[in-house]
Amino acid sequence: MASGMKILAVDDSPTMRRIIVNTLKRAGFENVAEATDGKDALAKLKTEKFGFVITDWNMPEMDGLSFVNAMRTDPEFKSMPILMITTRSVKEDIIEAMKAGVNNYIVKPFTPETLAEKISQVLASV
Amino acid sequence: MPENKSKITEKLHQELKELTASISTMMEAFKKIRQPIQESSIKVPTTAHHLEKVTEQTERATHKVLDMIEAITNRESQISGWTEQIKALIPGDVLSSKTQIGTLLTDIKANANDNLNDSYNIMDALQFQDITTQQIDHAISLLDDVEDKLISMLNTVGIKSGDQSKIRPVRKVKAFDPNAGFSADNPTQQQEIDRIISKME
Repeated sequence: MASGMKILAVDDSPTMRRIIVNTLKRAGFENVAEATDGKDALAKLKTEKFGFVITDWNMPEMDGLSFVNAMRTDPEFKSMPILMITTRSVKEDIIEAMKAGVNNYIVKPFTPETLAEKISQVLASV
Repeated sequence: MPENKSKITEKLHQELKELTASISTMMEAFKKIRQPIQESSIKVPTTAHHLEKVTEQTERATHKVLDMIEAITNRESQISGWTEQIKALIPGDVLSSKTQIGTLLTDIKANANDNLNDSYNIMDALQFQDITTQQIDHAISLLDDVEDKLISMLNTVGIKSGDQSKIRPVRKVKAFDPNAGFSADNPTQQQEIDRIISKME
């Protein structure tokens, strides 16, 4: 696993960001930065180098789907791995997110095992 | 002709009288409902404000619990590491002798690891806070709709609705999933999502 890789965790909930960061560290990913919404995340992507993005869907300012669309239309981030973690579990939402360009999708509440497994799958597929 | 005119005037007079009576009845009815509408236009933002406080306090409490979990996991990780350091310092023949030092150190490490795992399980369960916040935010948005409609009703009939800004100065911009839920059956839900994704590939 690429544990030296820098991950950007995007979620408007400070609790979720903290849980995601802790879970990633337990899985061996020590290098994690946080963003509060899509707009904040895009600004961080422009100034720091990341290898992986984990994003929520429902966020103010710029939601997860708009953020993914913005990333996929930017040549610099077109192929950066994106994992979506959200409460939205409706089939249409999952299809919409996958079509927008997320590499995998986790429903909240998630387990550490699921997070580690999905990161491995995404990294193996890109 | 004058007789006809008189009849029309009388009829018109009667109709106007009835209309005035109807308007008076309507005004009386409106006076009765005006008070509850005005009260509701104050109670609704008060309720929304209380719900926002619940969210804020739950978030603060959750972060206190997270602080403690992080402190506990750090200490337990240290204890687990120390047992290994102690084992390395004790000569092998003492460790394997009947002094039970080796067994005790193994038990201490096992307990420390159990505490670590339990702490992490508590941390994982705290995801409920994000999910309940989304549920509460949904309820607040419904209350905001009701408040707007009540104010609109009062404004239509020229009545001031009271100063809501004193109760809740700012409506925070919120993003939520109206269907957010804390499913006890999450592994099955995730499997279903995985199935949908694999069909797309």
